[in-house]
Amino acid sequence: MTVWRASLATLVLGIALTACGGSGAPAVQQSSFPADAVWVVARGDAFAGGSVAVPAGAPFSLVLDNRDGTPHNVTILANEPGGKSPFVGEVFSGPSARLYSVPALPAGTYQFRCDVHPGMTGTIVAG
Amino acid sequence: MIARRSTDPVELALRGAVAALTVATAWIHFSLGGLLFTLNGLGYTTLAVALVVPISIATRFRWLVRLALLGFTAMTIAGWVAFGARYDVAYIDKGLELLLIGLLLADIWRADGGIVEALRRLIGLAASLLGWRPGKEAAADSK
Repeated sequence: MTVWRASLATLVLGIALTACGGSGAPAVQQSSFPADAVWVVARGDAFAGGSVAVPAGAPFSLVLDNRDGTPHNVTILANEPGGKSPFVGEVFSGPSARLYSVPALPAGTYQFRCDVHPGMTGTIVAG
Repeated sequence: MIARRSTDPVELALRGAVAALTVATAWIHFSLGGLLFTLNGLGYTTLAVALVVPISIATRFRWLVRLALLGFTAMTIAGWVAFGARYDVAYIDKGLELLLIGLLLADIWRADGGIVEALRRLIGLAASLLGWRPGKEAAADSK
């Protein structure tokens, strides 16, 4: 019975802690990141906006503003089948924001996604 | 309908550790958000409860719960190997799940006579549910 009670108490505590770490966090201070950075907001296990434009052929800064209590990242997928992802961002838990330095992308349209939640997708247009 | 309590300290410790690891990995999966992770967390939670709840039906089928938890954990690890993201929490969780598998195998060995015996019992249960009997037994009955 002791094992049963201890397990149940741990379970209830875990669920309560998880519930407390929910979404709806305030936005981060934009001034702490480069002014020319491209912003992607993750909220409610989805990327808000869906599409961002970046310059082609030049490295750029991308800020992932993770407003969820869950871990997310940005991975830019190759725009040809079997190609190597041009950029894989570090996974981190929100609510917080992280600056990614993305290498130059040739002109084109790229899909990006969250590796933890592959259903979270967006589009980057390099042009 | 309260079941017999085990007094074997090793069995209790193993059962407690397995339940704690199951709850820990359930909590990690709940904390990841998304439907798949939530369902996975619910699966672990259900099995953790079934593993320790002191009612007779759960006690009777504890061997089946251990086997189900072993399979569920192995499938979760396989799913991560095939599709999962590689980052710190994922590695910690897979470590917990591998430890869980090790302790479950030890628990199955102590309580059920080993994984082969437990699988044999599972086949026997499936056969009885389907009304199927092995050839020799059926032949003997027909005489």
